Amino acid sequence: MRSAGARFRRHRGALVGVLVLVLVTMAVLLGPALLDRPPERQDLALGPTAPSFAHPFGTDYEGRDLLARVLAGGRISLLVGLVATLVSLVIGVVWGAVAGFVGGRLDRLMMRIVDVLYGLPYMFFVIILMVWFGRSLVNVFIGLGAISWLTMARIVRAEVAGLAGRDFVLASRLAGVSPLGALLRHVLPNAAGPIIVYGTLTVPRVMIEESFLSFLGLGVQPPAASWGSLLAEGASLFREYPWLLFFPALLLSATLLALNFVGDGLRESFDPGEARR
Amino acid sequence: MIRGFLVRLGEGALTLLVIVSLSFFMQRLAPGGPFDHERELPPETRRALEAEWGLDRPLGEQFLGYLGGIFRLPPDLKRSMTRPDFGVTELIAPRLAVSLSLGLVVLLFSLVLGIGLGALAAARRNGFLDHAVMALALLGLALPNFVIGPLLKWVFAIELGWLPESRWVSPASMVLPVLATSALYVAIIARMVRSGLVAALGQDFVRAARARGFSERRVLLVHALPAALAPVIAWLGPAAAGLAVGSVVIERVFDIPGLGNTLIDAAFNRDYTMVMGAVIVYSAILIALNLLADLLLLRVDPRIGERR
Amino acid sequence: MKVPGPVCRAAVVAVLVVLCACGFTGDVSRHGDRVLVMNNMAEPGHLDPGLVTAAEDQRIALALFEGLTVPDPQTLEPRPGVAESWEVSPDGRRYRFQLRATTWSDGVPLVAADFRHAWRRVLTPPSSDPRRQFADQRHYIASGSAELLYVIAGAQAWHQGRLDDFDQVGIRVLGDRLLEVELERPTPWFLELTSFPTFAPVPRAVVEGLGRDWTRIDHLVGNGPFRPVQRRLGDLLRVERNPRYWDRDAVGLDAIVYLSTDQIDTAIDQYLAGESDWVRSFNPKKVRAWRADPELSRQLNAPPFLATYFYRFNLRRPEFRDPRLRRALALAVDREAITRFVTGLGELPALGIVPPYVATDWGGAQPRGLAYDPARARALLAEAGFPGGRGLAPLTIAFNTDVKNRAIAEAIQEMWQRELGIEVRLENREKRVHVAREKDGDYLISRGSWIADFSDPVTFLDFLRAGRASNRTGWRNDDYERLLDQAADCLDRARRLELLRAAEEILCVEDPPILPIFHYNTAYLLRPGKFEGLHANPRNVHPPKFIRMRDR
Repeated sequence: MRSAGARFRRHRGALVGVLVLVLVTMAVLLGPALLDRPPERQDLALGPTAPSFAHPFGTDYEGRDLLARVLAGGRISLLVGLVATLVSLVIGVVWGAVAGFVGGRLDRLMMRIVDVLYGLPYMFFVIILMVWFGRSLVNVFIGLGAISWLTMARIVRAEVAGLAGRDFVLASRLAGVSPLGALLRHVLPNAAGPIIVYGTLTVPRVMIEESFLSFLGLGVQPPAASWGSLLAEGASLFREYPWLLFFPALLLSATLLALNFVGDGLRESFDPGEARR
Repeated sequence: MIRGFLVRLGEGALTLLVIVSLSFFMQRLAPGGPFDHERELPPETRRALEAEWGLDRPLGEQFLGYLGGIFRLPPDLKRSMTRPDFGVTELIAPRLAVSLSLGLVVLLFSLVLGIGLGALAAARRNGFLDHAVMALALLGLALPNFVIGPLLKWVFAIELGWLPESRWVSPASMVLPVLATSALYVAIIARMVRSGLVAALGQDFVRAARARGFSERRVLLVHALPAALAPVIAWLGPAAAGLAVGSVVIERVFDIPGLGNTLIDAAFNRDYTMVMGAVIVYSAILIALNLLADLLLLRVDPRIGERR
Repeated sequence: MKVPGPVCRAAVVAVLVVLCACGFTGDVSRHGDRVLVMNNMAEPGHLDPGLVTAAEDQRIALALFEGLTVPDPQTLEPRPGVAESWEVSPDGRRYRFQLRATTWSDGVPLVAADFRHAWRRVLTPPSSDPRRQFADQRHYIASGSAELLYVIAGAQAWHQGRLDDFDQVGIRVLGDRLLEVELERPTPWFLELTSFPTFAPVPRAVVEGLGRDWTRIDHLVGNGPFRPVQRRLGDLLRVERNPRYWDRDAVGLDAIVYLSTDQIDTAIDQYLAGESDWVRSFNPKKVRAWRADPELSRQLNAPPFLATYFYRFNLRRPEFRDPRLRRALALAVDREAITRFVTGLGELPALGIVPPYVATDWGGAQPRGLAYDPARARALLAEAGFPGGRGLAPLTIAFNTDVKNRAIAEAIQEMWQRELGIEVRLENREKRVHVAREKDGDYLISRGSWIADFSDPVTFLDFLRAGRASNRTGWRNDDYERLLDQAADCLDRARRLELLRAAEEILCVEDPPILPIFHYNTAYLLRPGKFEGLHANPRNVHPPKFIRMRDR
């Protein structure tokens, strides 16, 4: 692990990525407190205005300050990315590890369940979810988390199944280590690399998925905003009010790129020889 | 081998059946029905419609009736509830053709461009060209296609007038949607190929090839590339399945009559029969293509197949 | 780059196969000289005039079928259609139509019995009731618009199964070209109704011969100025001039193409790229920018429309039993701000439910009782027991997903919070869920709208009567019922309008179950100077037979 850390520190792109992420995170966490305008406050008479001294990012159709909205939206987008990734880590790792380690019929059954969820048209699933439980942020988390753990489960299962048959694991079992102990002590630590790498890459993927949901009107609901929902509105109005597209796109792209860089850095650090996934 | 394949096929069919049942009950238990309009229907009309579509019978009976229809030959997917002039099959078939053809073109385009760019970057690794290509590829990962699509339309269709703005009328209609969809896939493939190649170039069999005096280009393309393509193939199955069933976003932006938007539309309008038809087609393709990818992978790299 | 031969060959074959299989048939939308291409905003649902309810289907039905009358493109006054002339009895209950000698598009003569058959079809939903089993039962339809025919004597009773003999319904065929209709009561808007698709005739032999397939475009037989020639699912419907139409020389267009693009931004792009000339909708958030640009502003039309946007209060909820709270909420809404800055099409702020332009003699008056007055709103709120909003649980506004609904709800949320100190939550519901929940009474405040069936104020008042399915508020006011009953039987027009105005006063001021917000304008994009015979009108009805290309 230490050598992985050292390798990561040598990866320039990844370091820049970390820097960008730190800056963006600080901006969205601290920014709203420093600004004196709440992101929901409308000024209907003002309407959409181009960037100016009073509103550095301009205002949207309801006269809300875009800077405040982009910062508040960033909180939600990052939160969506993190929570959905966390969900995918927890469910995916447990599911995949159990299936891969126990093997046999349980494995088949668990993986068929994953197949079923994979085969279910995802947007249809999200729509039904929204219909049942209403449109709320929690549902966006559930919807995105529910879909993102599947791939994680497959990856973890493949890793664990591969490791479970290896000599050092069998040896530990013969030495009297319980199955759970062997899984926790010997198998999972060795699968940590791919899990961390894939986890990092899940964050930007989920953030993009969230923006698709917003484009379809299924995402975060106003007056709250996410980068995805701001971007969806910006893409619809960019010829009329270009700033509505430019600023959210700038922040979302920078963040996604940074996350991808960090993911690349991690991958190369954990898996220097064979960058397979 | 053949037995294994048959087992997978059977499992796939079972998976499909579970998905169909799940979808049936999920949408039927959701609030709001196809006859709930802002303007209320007269009760007599509603009763007649519900009787016509069998919605007045117990849900289990309706489900069995629907299954009975599917297992007939040819399968009876019923009429669409919102466009009752047409059968579901009749409505889906042309859309499926559109989605499939668009998906295939996107896939081929992304593969050619992605592998080419990835190889180029790997050949010039850490040089200017490498960084330039990878930066470009990252753009595809950093902007959703509902942003790229309208921007492309604005420049090439509305301002320059070079290409059709939308709809599905001639091969030229394909250009912009293919570009907008491919951005992401080119990025993914190029990055996979590049890192695969860079890794392979450090391995013994490539060093051996170099030692035998082959040109660097030949070493790269003939010896290293096949090894670098394995992860691409593994990724291809799910990706191709996603492409084949259409992208809702691109279909909306470019007004393309594909399958993805049909499903979303039907789900919003509670067109029960249409949703079921689209789900069946969608899931069948997804399962079939994943199966196909597994088989392909087994041939390319038997180790991976065993692990799955 | 070197690729193995088989792979290469496979790729080439695949590309060829794809290009053949794509279903490209070329763009038929622009073939011909005098063609109107319209973004109709949805794939047509029904072409059967008896089943038509959606606006996009109505527009097509107007081209394919013609009723007894045709609305004047400018004034909407009924003009002769299939009926050459008509007489009305002095009591206003009996109409006798003289039909012209004309034929269906397949050459079969069109006769008065075709009308009777069409109306009977609409009024007879297939039923499991043994008394309602007819030999030709399978040709009857479950129509969503059947209630429009209730003006005919006995029609409602027949539709609801309370009448066993259709001959008792007031539709009488007095000859091949003579039709008599007896109404339930005098109905000044009856002639206007006869131009609706629901009242259009259908070709009996074709319908019975083909069953449901008769509306396939290769089978469809109509009597309108156009006939369908091509339909591409998910893309377009093309109609061309009907050579057997009685007034064919007056028809100005060769063809109309209805594009089914349903995404408004995509439709606007198609318009901007010159692929269509008429977009029947608009994105409300683009209005300010388009209005500010003189060139774009010319293309964006937004005439007043006979429809009202309002909120329903759920009277079954205890907090709304007291009209004072409802009135306080209405008083705190600055409708002017909403129409100026949120909807922005020049909509008229609504203080009543009836758009003042519904009829010339309605007088343009709106009830003034609950006009924006935050001070009075606060006082009334305190009177109702919630001074400064204290003691009132948060209110939830439910609306169906839509850019405009959301923006309006946000604006009202802000107003109520600011003026009354009431906490307001928004509940964004998907369209069908919104309707289903509203029907079940599962809401507190809910967004609704009502579009006029015809140009008479009563269409805006009837739908909230007790027992009407469209009421959905649980509201019942006996004075209101009485006033509307009196108005229905009143032959003196001035007196009748007075009664209706008194009813509106109850509905919108005294005991309001609804909160009117604005009267709609319909926005559409139309290529300026290209067509004539196409006039802005409050029902947004544009009979296609009158549209022609302007000579340049």
